Amino acid sequence: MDEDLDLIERTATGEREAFNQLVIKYQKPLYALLYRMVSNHEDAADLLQKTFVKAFTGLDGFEQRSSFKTWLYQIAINLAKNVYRDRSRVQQVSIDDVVVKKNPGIVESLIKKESRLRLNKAMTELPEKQRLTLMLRVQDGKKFDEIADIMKCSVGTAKSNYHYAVYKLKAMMGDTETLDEKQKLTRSEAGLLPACRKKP
Amino acid sequence: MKCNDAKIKELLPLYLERELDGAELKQVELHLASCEDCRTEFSLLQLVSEEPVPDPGEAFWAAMPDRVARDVRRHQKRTLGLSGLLAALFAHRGAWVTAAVCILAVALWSVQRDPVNMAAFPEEETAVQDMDPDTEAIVKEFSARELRTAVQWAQNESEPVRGALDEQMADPNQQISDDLLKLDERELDRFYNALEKKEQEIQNRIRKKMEDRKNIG
Repeated sequence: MDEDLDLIERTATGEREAFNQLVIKYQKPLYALLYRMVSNHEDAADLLQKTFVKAFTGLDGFEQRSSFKTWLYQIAINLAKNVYRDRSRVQQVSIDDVVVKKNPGIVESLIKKESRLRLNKAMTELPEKQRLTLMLRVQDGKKFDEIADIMKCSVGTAKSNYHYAVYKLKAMMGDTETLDEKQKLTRSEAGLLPACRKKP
Repeated sequence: MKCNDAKIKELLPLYLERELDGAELKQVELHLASCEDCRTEFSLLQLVSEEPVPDPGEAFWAAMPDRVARDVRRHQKRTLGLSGLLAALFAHRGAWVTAAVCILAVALWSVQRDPVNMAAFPEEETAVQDMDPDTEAIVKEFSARELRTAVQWAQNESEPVRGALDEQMADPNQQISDDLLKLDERELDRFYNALEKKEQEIQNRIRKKMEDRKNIG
């Protein structure tokens, strides 16, 4: 955080190199977060640029109550929220349309793709705060105190949102068997394994 | 069967990120070996964490600082232009402009009122100094109370701007003041023309409302 403050001070005096360093430091993690929120490159790129512009033109409003990184994330999330609400993340792909050869590599990737599509659909159905908390914790690797800063809530609330998101995802994805078991069943249906019986 | 071990559930993301070691690592591994619910949860977290983000390429990353810098400069120019106008406004023609702002405030405030309320204008008149006769006639139709309210509004709105501009003017960095002086003549004239035009539009609207009220009455 001290390094960021130093870069911010130097940026405020007009030092272009410090400005560049701040952008380069945060552009990739911010882009990843924004892409996951809006699911397309054009919106993510546009929001990334707007996030930085809003931050640098509003540096007077950065009161250092949280880290500069947290402040950037707050700006990014607020800008992305409206775009995200208008977009559907569900992608409709029919696996039946794909010719399934008895090739474990292709089947494996199809199984993963199916799981991912179902996961994406389930994620869109989560309440916004829970989805964001889950993304920040698992995809961004943020700790709960950082998430609490970004989401402007208590650490307890951040943890609750996370646990509730996981609980709901499990319910939506079907928690009667492990994902591994699901994959085994699908492989047997594809003729790659001896038939398995479902666990009672 | 649902697992209620809150500690393990909190450790699962750290286990995923390979940030556990020692006793905690062993604890989680032992637990996963015997808990189907947590294995499911861990598989789910793996799937969530592996969601791919396409890389837009080195050219995109390399260009971003310049694109941001360009937008920031554009934003600063717009802000300076507005500040320059306001600084010139308050620094040079205080009396005339204060009166003009008051007229505008009163007029704007009145046209936003519910037409029914306009019928309740009290009969009191008020005198305002330094105004042309037509404007004075319009302003006299408002009660003293309403005029004070509108003037107070105008002063409140302009107070933060004046404060910010005073700070800028006091700044040892003379560049902003120099820029404001350059903006003075041309921009000030443009602003006054716009203000006069707006004032005329509002006066016309007030006259029309008064006529409509008379016709209804």
